[in-house]
Amino acid sequence: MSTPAKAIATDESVIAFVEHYVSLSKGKRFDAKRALWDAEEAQPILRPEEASQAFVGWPAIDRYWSHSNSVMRDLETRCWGFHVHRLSAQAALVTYTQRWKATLSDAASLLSGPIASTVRVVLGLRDRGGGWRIHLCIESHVDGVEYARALLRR
Amino acid sequence: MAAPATLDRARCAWRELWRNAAATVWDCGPLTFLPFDRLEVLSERAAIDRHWHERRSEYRWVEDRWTLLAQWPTGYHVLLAAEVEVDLEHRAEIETRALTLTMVLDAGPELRLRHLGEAAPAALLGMLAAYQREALL
Repeated sequence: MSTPAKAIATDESVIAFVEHYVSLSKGKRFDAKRALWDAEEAQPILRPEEASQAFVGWPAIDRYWSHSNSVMRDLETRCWGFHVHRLSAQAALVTYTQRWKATLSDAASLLSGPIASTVRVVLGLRDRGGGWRIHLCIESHVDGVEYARALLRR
Repeated sequence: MAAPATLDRARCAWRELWRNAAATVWDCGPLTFLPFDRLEVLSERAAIDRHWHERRSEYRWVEDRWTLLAQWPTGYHVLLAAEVEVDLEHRAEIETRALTLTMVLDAGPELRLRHLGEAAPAALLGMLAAYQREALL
């Protein structure tokens, strides 16, 4: 894994939007994050790294964020390494790497200390005239079997 | 919902990569590839080809099953998201991986792939979630 580096300025307006979106993790501002999604999208898709399948549709995504808000005491995320594909004047696909650090609400839990992870993100964006909005967000770590094999090889 | 043609083209592009036909699949413009078996974003064609070469020496594609989640035409391209179960042969054993794929394909008749993301469930968090579910039973 490479170390965090300055964002590659392939498209500054898109990158600035993504950096703002990611910054809203601090303070668990899930409502503000949702406001940056495309409310008109019929089939929004969110796949957090820990999920076994993607959440498709607003009810599933809202349930996930509500659950995240209740189980986390705090959350902080930073991002770097952007690649922007401009698919049209109104559509883009962005990939980047993000590192999140969270403390869970249940202090008695096994995970009472902070937990953190570094993942890759694929973000689908469109602009209907009011600025960039998200309709797809897929986070990915490395596959569990591969992770275990890599540990065994060390 | 999806035109089957787009899903067929996406499936074809992915299978071509497993069959070592990369030259007929990747676009000549900027590329991104997020492999399920390495925590990296590969954007150089040589690095992408090298990774597929290493992967094919480790695994043999056997079969896959696709479920389209959504597709978004953007003019010259189509962005697609799908759930894929793939059976891979690894040292005489068949292993099944569940992946969420994202792809950007050229909308024209040529099979040209600009982006491929292969998302698998996270190792550690997935295990913790499984233990948590077990405790709630």
